[in-house]
Amino acid sequence: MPIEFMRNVASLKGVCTVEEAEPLLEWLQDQQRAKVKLKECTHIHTAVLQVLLAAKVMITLPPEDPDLARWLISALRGARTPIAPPSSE
Amino acid sequence: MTPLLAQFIAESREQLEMTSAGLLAIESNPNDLDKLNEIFRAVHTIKGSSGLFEIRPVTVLVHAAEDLLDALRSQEVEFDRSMIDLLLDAFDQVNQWLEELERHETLPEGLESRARELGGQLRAFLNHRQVETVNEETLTAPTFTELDWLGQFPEHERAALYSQRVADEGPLTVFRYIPDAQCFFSGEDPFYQVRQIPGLSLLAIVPTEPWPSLAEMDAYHCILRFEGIASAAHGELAELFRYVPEQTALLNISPEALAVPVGRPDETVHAEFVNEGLTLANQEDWAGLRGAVEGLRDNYEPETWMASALRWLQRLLDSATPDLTAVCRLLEAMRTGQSPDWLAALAQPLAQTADAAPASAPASRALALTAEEESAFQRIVAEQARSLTLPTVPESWSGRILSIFTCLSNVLRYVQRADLLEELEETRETVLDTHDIEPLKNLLGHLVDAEDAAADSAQELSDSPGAATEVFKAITPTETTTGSEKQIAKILKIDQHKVDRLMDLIGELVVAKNALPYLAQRAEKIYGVRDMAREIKEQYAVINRIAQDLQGSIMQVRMMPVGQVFQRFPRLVRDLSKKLDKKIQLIIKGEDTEADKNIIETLADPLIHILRNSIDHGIEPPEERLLAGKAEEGAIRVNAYQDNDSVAIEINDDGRGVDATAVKNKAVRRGLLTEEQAEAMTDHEAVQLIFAPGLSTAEQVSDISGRGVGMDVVRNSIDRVGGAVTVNSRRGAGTDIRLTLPLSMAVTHVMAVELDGKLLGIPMDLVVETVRLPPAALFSIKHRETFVLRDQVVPLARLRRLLSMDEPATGEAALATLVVKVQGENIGLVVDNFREGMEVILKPMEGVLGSLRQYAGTALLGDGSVMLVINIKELL
Repeated sequence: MPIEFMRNVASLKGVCTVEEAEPLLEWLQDQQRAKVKLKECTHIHTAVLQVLLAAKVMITLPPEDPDLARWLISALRGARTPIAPPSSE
Repeated sequence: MTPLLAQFIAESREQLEMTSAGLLAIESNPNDLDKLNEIFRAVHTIKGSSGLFEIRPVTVLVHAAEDLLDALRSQEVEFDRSMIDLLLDAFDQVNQWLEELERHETLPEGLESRARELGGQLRAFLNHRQVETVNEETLTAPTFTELDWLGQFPEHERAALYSQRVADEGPLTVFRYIPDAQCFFSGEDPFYQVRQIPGLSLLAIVPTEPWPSLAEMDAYHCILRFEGIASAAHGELAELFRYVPEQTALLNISPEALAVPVGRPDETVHAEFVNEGLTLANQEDWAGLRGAVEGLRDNYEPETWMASALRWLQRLLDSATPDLTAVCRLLEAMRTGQSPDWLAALAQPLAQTADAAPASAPASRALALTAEEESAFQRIVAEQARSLTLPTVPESWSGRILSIFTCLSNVLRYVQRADLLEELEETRETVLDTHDIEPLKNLLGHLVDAEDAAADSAQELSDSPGAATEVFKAITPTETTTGSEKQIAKILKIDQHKVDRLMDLIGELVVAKNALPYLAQRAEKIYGVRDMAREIKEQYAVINRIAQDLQGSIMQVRMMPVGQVFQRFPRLVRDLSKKLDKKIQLIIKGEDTEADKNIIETLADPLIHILRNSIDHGIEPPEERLLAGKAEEGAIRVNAYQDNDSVAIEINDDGRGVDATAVKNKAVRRGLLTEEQAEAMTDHEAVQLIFAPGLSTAEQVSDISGRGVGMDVVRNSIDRVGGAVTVNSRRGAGTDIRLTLPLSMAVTHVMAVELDGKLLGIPMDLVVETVRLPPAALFSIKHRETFVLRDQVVPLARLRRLLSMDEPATGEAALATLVVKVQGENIGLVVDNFREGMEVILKPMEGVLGSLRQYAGTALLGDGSVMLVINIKELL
């Protein structure tokens, strides 16, 4: 299993295949502030990428693979919201 | 078998069943678009899931069916009855493969050709459409109508790329790749594909539609678009995307096209500078132009559009031989504040779009985004104003006001209107103090008017596409969350064995519970503690109630609508009537009637048998019907309803009925009856003989029915679950068959009777009443003992005699007689004594005892003893 789910951090390793998309999505659906660790990741399948983008998930450690890191970070930057969540009074 | 595969098989079966039913519905009403959509979705699901396993033939065939259904759905092909036949065949084939899959977990080799053959037949209907599809795809294939989208890449990255390309004069190709939404199912990985692009320099991955909420998201539905720039030739990219040309757009560009200025728009008029610049450029006075740019640049904030345009102009001019047309284009763009139309400048064969480009994409990237944000801003403010007008209870009033203010302050902070924030704060205090919402209304109105101001102060737009919608979502999260909660299905799929196990356990609980009254008795009689006995009885009452509830609930779990069995009927009737050239209408009522799953399952085969008989022997061919003065189309009615503690199913046809004489003759020939017996028999009695083994009146054996193994099998299987079947024939007018089945087999009510000091059970549903007869009330008719009960002569049987037991003389004591109803007739049954009625879990006789037909089974009693339950029908 290339994805390890911890409390609110999912760690993606190696090549993440299309099969990981569904479990990842399900996990993210239950998470308020999910983070993902991509350090040891070398490629993520489009379906997984799409889930990460849709969830606007926070990346704790970018991939070591420079290529992947570059495209991924810029894509995620596009998807992430630039404002802080509304503070509750 | 892996659970995944098991689930796939089970689910696909369900889907296929629905599909068959749906197709038949479509056949009679081709315009039922809802049904068609339903079928399409079912087939689509099967296709999608089948991709997870190594079952290529299924995928191939279902895919072909899906294509045809899709074409039907979008009305691209004309509906044709032969399509239904073919689709049904295809699904039958899939069903067969699923069975194969269930048995062996894999499919044998060489099925794919069969799949392709069937698929080919299905696709034959699409042939003329495919031509259109190709055209359509070329139309929907991505094209570039403008190159402004390049502005989404940070300026410095584009600048670096620009200078590099200008220096080495290498090729630049922009690409846009919109993968098919279903591409994951065909094993594609577009992101991987994109990463293989040679010299990939800039890449944006954006959704083709707004991001769905996570709860609604379908992980396997691709909604991504890839676009960017590669430092490679057009041909290299075309080679890479050669399998998906209809999903990609490629264009060679010159480095100048990277010069898309982005930033905050500026109201200042630059006409003077533009004119001066154009003059200088036309004179090729590059140094002069460079100077003019230099002079103007510091007048603008770096993040403005104009500053960005000037920086690009500078970069163009930095080249040793600046491109005159490019410079002029950029200068002209400054006049209008819109991005230069680089696409037109490229004058590629795609140039037809060039004319349209300025019109279709007049707004620059920055402006467009601002508009988006503005609209979000407006929507938020409007929503707040609306919620202000909604009625509310006083307790929640201040909460609502506070939330409106929180929301507004967030919005204002985002658009960086610190000035308004202060005003907002003040208004909040006022409103909360005075309970007057007027100031807030004014403020909201003011905010709506101030849209330009708000737009102007929006910053960093180029870095945040989609930010506007995000704001909206973040501030009104309640809508989406409540929506998604509703969508969570409350249905569990459970292996039947687990429910059965639960059922067994509850059965044991009931037996254990029944031990308590005995315990209470012992406490009282043997140990003499009356109070203790009472308390035990109280506890027993509580446990009894819970156990009954538990039993009731688990029975509910096992209940299924009989409609499950009926689903197969329309198909059966359709196929058989086609084969036999008969016209038959099937009318089904009461599909919702529920019964225990096991009962429903035993029903399936008998019902199909009965139905086949009706179609084959009952309903006459059209000519014969017309001669008999009936409607050409025969009718078969299936009606299910609940009748007290049982389910009744009636199957009526308006065919020729059962020929009583023919049945008698046959029975005599087979030696089932003597001629005299046959003579004495009424027609109604004779008709019942069809349930006797080895009797079929059909003139010839067909492959549908008539092998003489039909109706007796029906009776046996209905008997086995404690049901009954009766037939009533109206000569020439039809046959009615009625099945009655218990709702559930789990718990049996029995009446306990005493015989020779032992307890015996008699099924409660047979018991009519109990009477005590003085011996004087008995009299004999032809060696049979009888008695009169309410002016009716009732035959009497003695259970001891039936069971070959000693019969001690009872003298003048009254005889305990149980009146039971067997095959519609009352019979008195003399026993030693009556005992209480009880609920037992009846276990059938098994093994060596299985052949003892006189007993229906055994039940475990609360005191641990075993009670035999009598099968009166067999005994008499």
